[in-house]
Order: sequence, then C-alpha cells, then structure tokens
Amino acid sequence: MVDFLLTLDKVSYSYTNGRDFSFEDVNVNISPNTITSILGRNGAGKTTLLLIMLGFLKPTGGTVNYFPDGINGFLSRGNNSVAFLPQSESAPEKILVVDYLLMGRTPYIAPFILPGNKDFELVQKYAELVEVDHLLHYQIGKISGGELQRVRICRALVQESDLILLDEPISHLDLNAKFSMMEMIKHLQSLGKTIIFTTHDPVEALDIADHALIISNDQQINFGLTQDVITEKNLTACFNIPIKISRNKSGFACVVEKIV
Amino acid sequence: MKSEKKYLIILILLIILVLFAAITGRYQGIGSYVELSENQLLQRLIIQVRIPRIMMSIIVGAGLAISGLVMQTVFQNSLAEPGVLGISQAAGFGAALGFLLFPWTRIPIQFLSFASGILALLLVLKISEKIKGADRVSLIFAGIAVSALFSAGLGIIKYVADPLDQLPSIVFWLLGGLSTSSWSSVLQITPIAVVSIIVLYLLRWRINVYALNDSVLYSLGIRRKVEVYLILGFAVLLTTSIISFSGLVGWIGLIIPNITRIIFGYDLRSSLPGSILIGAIFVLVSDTLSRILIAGEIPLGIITAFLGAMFFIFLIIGKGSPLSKNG
Amino acid sequence: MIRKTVLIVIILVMLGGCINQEANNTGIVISDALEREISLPKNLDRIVIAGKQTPTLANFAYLFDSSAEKVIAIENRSQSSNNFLSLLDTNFISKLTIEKGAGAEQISPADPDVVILMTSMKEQIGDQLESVGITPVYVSFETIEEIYRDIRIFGTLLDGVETAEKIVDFYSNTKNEIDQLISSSKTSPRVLILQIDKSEGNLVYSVPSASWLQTAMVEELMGQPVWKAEASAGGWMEISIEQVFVWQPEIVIVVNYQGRSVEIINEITNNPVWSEFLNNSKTMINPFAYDYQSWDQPDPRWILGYANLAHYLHPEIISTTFLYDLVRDFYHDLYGLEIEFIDSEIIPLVQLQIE
Repeated sequence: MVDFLLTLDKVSYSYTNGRDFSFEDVNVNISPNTITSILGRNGAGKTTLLLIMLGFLKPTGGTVNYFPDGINGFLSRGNNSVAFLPQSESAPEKILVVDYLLMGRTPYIAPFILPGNKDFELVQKYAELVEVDHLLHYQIGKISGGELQRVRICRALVQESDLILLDEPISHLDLNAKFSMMEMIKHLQSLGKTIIFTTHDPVEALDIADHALIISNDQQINFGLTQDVITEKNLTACFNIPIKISRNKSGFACVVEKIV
Repeated sequence: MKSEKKYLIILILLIILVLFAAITGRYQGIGSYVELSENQLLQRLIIQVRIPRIMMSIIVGAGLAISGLVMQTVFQNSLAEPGVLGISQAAGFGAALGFLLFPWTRIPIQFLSFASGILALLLVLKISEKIKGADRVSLIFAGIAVSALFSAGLGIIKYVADPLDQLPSIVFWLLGGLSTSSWSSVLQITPIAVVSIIVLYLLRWRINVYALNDSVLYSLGIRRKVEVYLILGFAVLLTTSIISFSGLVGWIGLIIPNITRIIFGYDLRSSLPGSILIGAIFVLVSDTLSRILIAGEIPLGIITAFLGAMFFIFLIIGKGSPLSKNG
Repeated sequence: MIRKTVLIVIILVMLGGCINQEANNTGIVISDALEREISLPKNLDRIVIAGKQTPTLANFAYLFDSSAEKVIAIENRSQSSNNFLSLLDTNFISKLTIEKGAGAEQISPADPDVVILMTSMKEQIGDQLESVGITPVYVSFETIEEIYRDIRIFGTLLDGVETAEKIVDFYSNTKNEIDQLISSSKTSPRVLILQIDKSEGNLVYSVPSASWLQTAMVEELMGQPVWKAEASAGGWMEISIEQVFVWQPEIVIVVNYQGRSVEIINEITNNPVWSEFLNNSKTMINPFAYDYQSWDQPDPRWILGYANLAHYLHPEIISTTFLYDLVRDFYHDLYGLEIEFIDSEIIPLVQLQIE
C-alpha cells in the first residue's frame, strides 16, 4: 500500500502570462483515495499547477513523482494513466456521446487497432453508473451543460485511471448542477479514485475536499488538511477582502464581511 | 440506414461508373459495347488508355479526399485541405523543380515534391502559431500565405528557368489533368498512394481522438508531436505523390470530406472509408466529363473547381451546414 | 525681258527642286498591321525586335541584307534559330540583349528608332513604348496575305523595298506553281496536323487553331483539315488520343518543336493503340519537316512547309526532288547562301522521311 499516489518535490516553474509568474519550492503529497482542491483567484496559476501534476508541463526544477510505476507509468496502457478534464474542451459537437466516451479507452487501444467489444462494454457499464447511458446516441452538442459534465466525468471513468484531475469542474454550473457534481466527485472517491480539482470558490473545497492547496497572490503554496489550510485568515489574504466562514447543518458558506 | 448498407450502395455506384467510363469516350461513345468484341482498336483504347486513366482518377479522388479529411480532423477545421494550406502548390513547385533539374528520371520529382510539401506544412504550422487571435482562422491565413509563396515560386521556375519550354506548361500545373495517364504512371503512383491510404485507414479511429485538447491527449498517452507528424506526413506524401503527376487538382480535399460527413457522420471509422469511395466517384465523373464533353481536353481542375464551388456554396448556406459549428 | 523670265524660271525650278528635295528627306510612311499610319525618318539605323515570337520576326528580318547593320537588339526568346541566324550575322548572338518579357524600361536604353512587335503585344508593350516616345510597328504574319503585307513593311523599314517584292514574288510564284500542279489531282484527303509533345515519357497531343496558317494551308492544298470544326479559336488545343481516331484522318502529320517528330513517330508505331489503328486504316503518318525550325509555322520557311504538305497530300505530283530543289532555291535566293553549303549543312538537317 503506497503512502502517496503523487508527490511534488521542491518543484519550481516559471511562466509569463501578461506578467511573470513563478512557483518556487512547491512540496505536495497526494494520498490515495483523497479529494484535494486547488484554490486560488482567477489567473493565480491553478490550471498551471494542475498541468504540472498531469505531467503536461515540465517543471524547471524539482521532480513530480507518480507511484507505483513512476513518471513513465502513466504513459503506458493501464491503470496508471491519469485522467484529465480541462476547463473547456474542444470536442466536435457532432460526435456521438458513445464515440466520445470511447476515446477514454485510448490508452488501452494500440494505434492501428479499433475499439473492441470489451471497450464498448466498459463504456456501457460506466455510462450506466453515471446515469448517462440514455444519452449515448446523442450528439455532444445536443445535450445540456450539466449532462455534458457528467459525460466528461464518465470519460475519465472509462479511462480506468486511479488519479483524476479536474480543472474547474464545478465553477460554471448552476446551483443544482453544482450540487450533483459535488455528489459525483464524492461518488468517484467511493469508487476508489483519487481526485484533484481546481476552483476559485472555497465553499466547494470546504464541502468535499479532504486536502486543500491555496495559491496566494505571490504564488506561495499552502497545502494541508482542508480545515487547517482554509481558514478565514488565509482566505482573506488570498482574496484580498475580508471573508468569514460560517457553517450550518447543510454545509459551508463563505461570506464577505462588509465594513459598515 | 446502417453504414454498411451505405457503403454497399456507394460501392456499387462506383463500379457502375467505372464500367460506364470504360466504355465511354470520344471514340465510339456510349453504347459501343456491342462493337466491343469486334473492334480491336476500341479494345486497345479501353485497355491502354481509358482503364489506366480511370485508375488514376480513382487514386486522385480517394487520395486527395482522405488527405483533406485527415487534415480537417487533426486541425479541427473544416476548411483545411492540402490546397488551402499551400501543400498542393508546394507539391507542384517541387515537381517542377525536379523536372527542371532531373529531366531523365521521375524519382527526384517525387522526392522534391514531397520535400516541398513537408516544408509547406511546417511553414503553415509555424506561421499560424505566431498569429494571435482565433486559432481556426490563423491556420487558414497561414495557408493563404504559404500557397501564394509556392505558386509564385512555380511561376518563377516556369518563367525564368525554363526558356526552352521544357516543363509542362504552367497552365497544366495550375489546372491539372490526367490526359497523360498510362500503365506506367499507374505503376509509379499506386504503390505510394496505396501504402499511405492503408496507413491512414488503419489509424482512422486514432485520428478521431485528435479532436480533443492537447492536454487531454497527453493524459490519454498520445505522444502528440510524433503521432501528428506521422499522420500529417502520410497525408502530405499522399497529396504530393498525386499532384506531382496530375498537377493541381483542387477542391477535392475541401468538399468531399464535408459531403462524406453529411452521409456518414463524424466518426472517421465510417467517414474515412466513405471519403475514399465518394472522392473516387467525384474525380472519376469529373475526369470522364473532361475527356468527352468536347473534342479538346478540358483541364480537370476546371471541372473539379466548378462542381466543387457549387457544392461549397450549397454547403455554407444550406441548413444544417456542417461548416457552421464543427468544433 | 527674256533674261528676267529665264531667271525667274530658273529660280522657280530650283525652288521646286528644293521643295522636292525636302519631300525626299521627310522620310517614309508605313501602314502597319493594325492599320496605323506611321511616319518615320528615311534611314532607320536602330531597329529593335521585341515581344513574343522574336525568332519568327528575326527570321523574316534577316531576309534583308541590311538587317545585320540595322537590327541592333532582339528580345531573347527561344534558342532554336540561333544557329541559323548566326550564319547570316556573326554578331547575332551578341544582339540578344533584351530579356524575355521586357517592357519599355528595358527596351529604351537601346535607343531604337523603331521597335517591331507582333500585333498581340500592343497592350503589353506597344502602348508603353509609345508613351515614352518610341515608335512601335506592328506585324502579324498570320495568313499568307499578311505574310506578303508584312514582308513589304519590313522592306520599307529595312531599306529593301525591291528585295521585298522579290521575296513576295518568290513566294507567290512558288505557291502558284504548286497550286497549278495539284489542280489536276482528284484526291481530297482527310488531314490531321498533330503536335505531339513528349514530356517525361508521356505524350501530349494537340491540334492547331482553326484560324492559323497550318489549317489554311491544308485547305489551299485541297485537303480536309479534320480538326477545324472543333478546334479552338485560340492556340493549340490539347486532345486525347481517342479524338484522333474519331476524326479518321487519312494522313497524319506530326509536328514537334524540339525537332523530335521522327523519333516520336518511331515510338508510337510501336505503341499498341497506334499500331492497331495504323495497321487497319492505311493511314499514313509523316513528320512535318524541320531544319532549324519546324516548317509549319509562320516563318520564312512557310513555303517549304506548303510544299512539304503538298508532297504528303499529293505525293504522285509533288516529289521529294521537287522539295529538295525548292529548299536549295529558297536558301540561295532568299538568304544568299551557297549551294554547296546548303547541300552539306542544311539538307541533311531536313527530317522528311522516317526510316
């Protein structure tokens, strides 16, 4: 049993996005079967950090390590691939849902081969699990935003990877879709998956994440258990306005404290 | 209607058209099958002249259609095709250069044509990266620039370097034609074309996946750079080997994939084989028209442009146009 | 009284003489191919030949002795006549100073008195030249009548008015002789003039324009030009090999501007399609003769082409001997070459027969 699924060891990364950013000496340990949220303002570098965790962006210093097979593990077929859902995807709108889901099986299908029965069966199984099986023969462009999100999560499931990275999966949804997506992410955890997602809303982190990572304005990283990291003090520093956290039976709320 | 049934219908149509084209020509025209057994000249015409030409037109149609389909899918842009991206023009340029420098053998012509095509592809990719703003349009802008560059290059070769008029006329390069088809040309072009088509056919499902973002492809284990260059490389090879023989025959890579998608959908598992058949039919019909309508030969490019432009207008203004939101 | 009158008469005569002298010195007037009336000074020393088809124009110009002096620059187009024209003018090659496609800017440094152009060059070059004060003279050489007219124009420009008449006489006499001879013939064969180009191993077939000299010559010789009805009005029209057989020609004459007609004929007689056709139809296939140039074009050698065609169409009347004698007369009378030279250098070049 491994202690950590993914670690960042003294990772540093510089980039320019209008202004110069750099991450220095980032140390993060992701435990298996946990939900971690990456919290920060828009433009703070959340997506960048996620892409570094994916391996798509290479750090300029330090190492990103995957267990048990190391960094090359997920390049090969099998459970060690990392599933990734970007913020917005350029899927052609006229592709059928079932064909889109099949793309999740790519790590298991050699280049000159076509998807086989096993792949179709798995797509069916996971579509039922996520309750999108009735949408399989619809075009991607014809389903609703909430349904599309579920379909995309389904693709991550079809990929059968242990680690799932989500870029702002909840942020743009309306309230009821938000709720079902958060339920979905917890459901993924119950299936044994490890999830890392980015958000600019601390409530999402407070509601479902075990661990949290806050990116402050000067790219300082604060990582740890959610209750330790997401405090009123840290949030206020991060967002530059006074924030109060309150909790009731149903969940958390974050409120901007007005100066009267 | 299931895909298999559609294939069958279109395949039967193709076979009928092939037979029709074989017995049709300026000499003895249609309905001459009655004479077939007695007229030796007609038999030889059919075997030595018409059949190689029919085969070339099928290869040209299938090859350019697949090339366009692959480029449209990889670039996620339904206006992409070798002609729009300047690759066809580069192929013509390279072939003309090969003609001029090595008139005694065909191999350098094919090679230079391919090298120019790859160069054009790299230029288009590099230039479009530098253009700010809408991704989709930047590719087209880059293509306009590159195609103008190589067209001009072709003009320069023809005008400056060819005072003895050794090269085929520039009209031929710009409008294309299959009138010089023979069994030897079939033997020269077919191996490369067929190999390229087979490779792309085997990769047809994989190419679908390129619709997704680069980061997603990475997560799915696709080493994008290598694979994309391989796929595009074969598409360029296919295009250049065809154009170095037939001259610039345009519109096929643009129109046929769009028509194919209307009939077969967006999945390359069905649209790639579909575009082979439909492309073949389109060029077969065009080329047959080009050699029977009048006593003279009408350049093939004129007919494909005419038919292609009509389809294009229909495509962009028709309802449910696939060009509206392709993604 | 009488002395005064005589004085006045003498003065008047002298004045008249002066006026006459003046008139003589005001130069020449030409009506060119575009029916422009052009006044030019009498002694033109600097004549430039430019635009398309300069080899044709040069070949015609060098029918006149004064060309070696008066023609100072020529646009450099096809190389094929260079060997021949160098025989007549040792400085010929050095006169090819104007680049292909030159405009007024490149031509004016030569400081021409007049520039000879084909009529098709008016918009492209001629108008430009006029706007910078250089006079173009247009010729066309497209039909037999135009050839005669344009030779006379050249005669006026090149100070060879009498020579021009001699040349026109040579042409018209020869043509009349041939026409007379063949008038007794009863045959009116179906003729196809076919240009066959060989580019990298593949043959490209084309037929001449309906309005060109080749077509007219066939008709004058009582042949039927099978391509005329369907030929284009513009230039050479490409056809497929099938069309050749549709037209069912009795005589096929192969033109090739690289001088490879004989080679090409030998090749196609081995081709399965052609051999089938030739075996079954008794069609004769011949090369259009070629010495330094193909004889089928509007070129001084057109009359040789005319005789060549007459020989193919009516072989029992016009023999090869007639043809070779005509070649000798042509180069001797019109270009002033020695008979020994013609026999040793030119006759062997003439590709007339296939082995």
